[in-house]
Amino acid sequence: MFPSLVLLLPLFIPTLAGIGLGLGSYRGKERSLLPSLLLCLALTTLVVALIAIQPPIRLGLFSLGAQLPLYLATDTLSNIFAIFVAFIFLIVSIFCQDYLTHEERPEHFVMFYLLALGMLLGLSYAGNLLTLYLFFELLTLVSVPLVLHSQSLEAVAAAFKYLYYSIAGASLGLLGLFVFYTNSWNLDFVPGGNLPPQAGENSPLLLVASMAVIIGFSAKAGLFPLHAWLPAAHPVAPAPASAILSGVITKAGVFAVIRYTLYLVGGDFLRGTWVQGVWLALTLFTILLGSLQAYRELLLKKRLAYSSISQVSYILFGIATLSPLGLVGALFHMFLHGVAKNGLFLNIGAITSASQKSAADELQGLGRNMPFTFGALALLSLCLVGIPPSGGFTSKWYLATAALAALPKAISWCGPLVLIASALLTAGYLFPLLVEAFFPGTEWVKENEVKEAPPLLLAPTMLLALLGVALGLFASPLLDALQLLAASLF
Amino acid sequence: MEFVLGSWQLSFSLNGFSSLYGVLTCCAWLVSTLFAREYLAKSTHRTRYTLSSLATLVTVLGVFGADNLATTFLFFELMAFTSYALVAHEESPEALRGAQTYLAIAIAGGMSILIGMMLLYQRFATLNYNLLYEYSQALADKGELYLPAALLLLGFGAKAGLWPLHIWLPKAHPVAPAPASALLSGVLTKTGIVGVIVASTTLLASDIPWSVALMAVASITMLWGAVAALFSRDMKRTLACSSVSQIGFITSGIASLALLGYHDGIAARGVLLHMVNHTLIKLVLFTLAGVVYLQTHDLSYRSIRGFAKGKPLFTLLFLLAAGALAGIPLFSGYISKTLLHEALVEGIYYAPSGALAAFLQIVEIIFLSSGGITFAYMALLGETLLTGNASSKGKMPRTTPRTRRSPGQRRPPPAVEGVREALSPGYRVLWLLLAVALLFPLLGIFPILAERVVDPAFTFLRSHEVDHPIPYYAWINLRGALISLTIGGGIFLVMRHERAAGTLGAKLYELFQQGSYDLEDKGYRPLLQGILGHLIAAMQRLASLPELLVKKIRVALLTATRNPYQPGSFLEGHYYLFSSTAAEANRRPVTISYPSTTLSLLLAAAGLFIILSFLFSQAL
Repeated sequence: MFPSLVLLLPLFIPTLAGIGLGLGSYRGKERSLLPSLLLCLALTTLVVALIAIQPPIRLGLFSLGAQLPLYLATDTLSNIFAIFVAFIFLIVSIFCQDYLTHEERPEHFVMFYLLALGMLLGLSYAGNLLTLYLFFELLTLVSVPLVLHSQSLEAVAAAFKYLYYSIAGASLGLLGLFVFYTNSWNLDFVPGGNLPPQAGENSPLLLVASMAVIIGFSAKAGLFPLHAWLPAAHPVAPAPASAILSGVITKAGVFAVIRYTLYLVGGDFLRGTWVQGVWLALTLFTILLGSLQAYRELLLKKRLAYSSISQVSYILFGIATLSPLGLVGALFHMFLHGVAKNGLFLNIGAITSASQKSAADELQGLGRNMPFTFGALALLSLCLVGIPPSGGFTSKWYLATAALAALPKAISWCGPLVLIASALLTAGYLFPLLVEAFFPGTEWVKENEVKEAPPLLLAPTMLLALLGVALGLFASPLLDALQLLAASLF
Repeated sequence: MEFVLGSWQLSFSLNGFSSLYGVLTCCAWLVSTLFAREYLAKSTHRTRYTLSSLATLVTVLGVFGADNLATTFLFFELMAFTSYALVAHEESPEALRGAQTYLAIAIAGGMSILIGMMLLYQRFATLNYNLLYEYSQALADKGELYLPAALLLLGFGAKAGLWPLHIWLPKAHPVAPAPASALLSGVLTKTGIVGVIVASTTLLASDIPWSVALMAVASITMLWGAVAALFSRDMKRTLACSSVSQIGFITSGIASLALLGYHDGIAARGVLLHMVNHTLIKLVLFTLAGVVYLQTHDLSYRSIRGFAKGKPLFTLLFLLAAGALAGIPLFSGYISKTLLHEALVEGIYYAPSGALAAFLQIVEIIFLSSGGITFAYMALLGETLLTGNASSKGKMPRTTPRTRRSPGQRRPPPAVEGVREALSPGYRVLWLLLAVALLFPLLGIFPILAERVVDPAFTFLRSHEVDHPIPYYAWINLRGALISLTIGGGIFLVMRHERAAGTLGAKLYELFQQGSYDLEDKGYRPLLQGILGHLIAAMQRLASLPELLVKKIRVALLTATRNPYQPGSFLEGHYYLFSSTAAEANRRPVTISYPSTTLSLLLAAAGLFIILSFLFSQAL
């Protein structure tokens, strides 16, 4: 049993290390910076894992008046999310080891990378909506410099776009915070909802506010109508930053939505209301929108960004079904997409840095030069499309069966249909890359100067690829844990 | 047998069917792999071919052995990917296109199966075949099973080559290396048949409407494939189209199962025996096509004219296989087609209504004429190979072309024809094929052997035993074959004449060859591209709506009417507005017009005030 102060460690280790590393000057000695990054992340992951096996901890930070305390607390969801975040950051930092030596100002990147991790962990351990809101805004602020990193015109424009969308979204979340507070005088997260018995009844305002929160927090998750920052921000950011933005930071939006809908207002309040209907419609629309745009897009990073819009909406769709099965599918897909999309972004980063190719129609024959990189790309694609036995199939199965079971008969078929259509489109925008790379045609001549990416760029993407398949093959422990969690929420 | 692979509960059962097809699959792979050694001797990426061939073997065996739908689906999906490399092996533009069609159909089919699976799981909470059978039998109203069964049929039927999703077969088989075509056509299509059987015997056993629909699809498939094969002028294409047609025959038997009720043993035997026949026949024929290709490097009828002259072993093999395919008496194909035909005839006899009987009579006509066309196209192919005045190309075949032999070294003089054949590439595999091909007359002459082979597999089709011995060579049964062969002979003579005269045949040939009937190029691809194009355009417009709104608001808030700077885009404006240095900001000055901004801010503040006061009124 640790003292409750231990909850400060996951916040302070990355934050302080980030500031410390960022203030130093490493001209010509970039390599000395990076092992400490790895060490710091390994430590954070360890601490987070240790906290996860402890009984729930609660730690007050400070208070805005007697009724509005800010505090950290652990529960199953926060532990699951924190481990997920720390682990992905750890894997991506292996990629950084080599990648950042070729970038300018690596120390700045490292600083904001670590700060973002600190804020994400704060977000996951937030005990009430106010704390969560605080870390949500801070996360936006510290992740903007990751997009800005190259400081080109597009990067600056994209960073501001990201900033405005996130702040606009968070302010919608703030509106929900006010309305909810006036209904319950309490912002603590309680599994199943924290609405006093008759408080929320016949309150159209609370419904409007819930809709606003869902749309607002989902801005980070790329839900239509606040999705447009993703395709702008991802292509200009460095590869590890895109990976983190798409794989983890979008999930912060999902996490906030789960906290609000299932821990504050509660699933019962929303079930069957127009809010659920609009929510479902928005997610399904976004799934199709993202996949169709990705199908059309040639620039690889942008294609993946659109794909993220679509895939993160799978998760939101699962939550929007407001059923245990849907939540299990959603959280499972959160893991899977975190793993697969990070792997894909790192993979594309490795391809680009080894061959200078960044568009979908330039990959001819590269599979012959870089068999391992493209082998990993193949596995990751199978995962994302959802070909059994990869993890993508498991999440798709849960999401679709949840839709069939939980939604009214008349509209239940929409979910599976859209998921399948999107899976077909996903196959349509990922497999041609592999075909081009591995089957370049008879006329193609091998370019000999392109070599396999360096091992440090290759290792994380291969690791994530294998993990994506393993998630499908050995899903039971994770699914059992998620099922326990879901059972406590409904 | 249950086997837990991680969280996948794989379940296999060793029954008559899985043993039968397991053995057949392994035999087919053995022949194909031995042949591939020679066929691909000079090809690049032999390792890739071997690897994907073996991986495909694993998945195929998985499909045949599976005891629940999830296991079948897992291996079925993986098979699409492992076999992709077989189809695309040559990497020519046609091969890549054929492989693309193949993969697209396979993935789309897989997704269709997946939805069907979900619906079934939703309904019964199990995917085990035996339980599914029990539960669906217990249902009073089978109406709700039509959708899942149709989805399964769509997915598995696409792999089997059922119309209208047969399009990948004539594209993929000709472009794949011959040993792979033999497997694709002989074995992989049967994995699709497995699914069709499951949909019709496990889910919708003895359901008349379903069987009628399936029968309609089967008849279109058998006729379509046969006609396409008749007009084909390429050996492998003929064989591929013929596969489509034969799959139609097999499916007609599956449809008969339900129509016969307790007498369905005859249909089951026909289905199984025709499957086995087709696997073996296509194994032989595609391998022969490979042997031809090794010497001529072209399989169009013009190039292979007279190829078999002086090649007794080749000729013998071809005649055995062609005879079996055409269903000539004393060959095994006759036995299986007789059974299928007999099942149809009995179906007419037992038909509960006149309409159904009339429908089945039409099917019988299609059945017999398709059988006739089978004879006709095999006869045309045989005539081309066996007789035909060898064209200059055929006479001096590039035997063992561009081998390690130096150009100066002469080929052995083709004085003794047998010697030439013995030296030709791929010759050794012919002896192996002979062992396979001798089964055709053996099973044809001693049908009891064929019955022994396939009858243990009845459990898979959930059919009853055959209730009476079948007199295969009685006049009543021979008559069907003779009608069929007469039709076939007539068509053959007409086609031969037309081909020589170059009138009708040539015109039809043009029509068929140039793809006017090509469902893929004229139908599916443009349709899909059209839908996708419009959908993407519409989505894009919708997706840009929020941004447009932001732009409008920004223009309203931040720019004046007399502003020299016309706001171009959202991004640009923001960049200059929030630029960090004065120099950047001055490069393109943004003048904020105070009157309009203050007005807007005032309005915004008023809105905020109203919202807040409403909140307070709620709170109090």
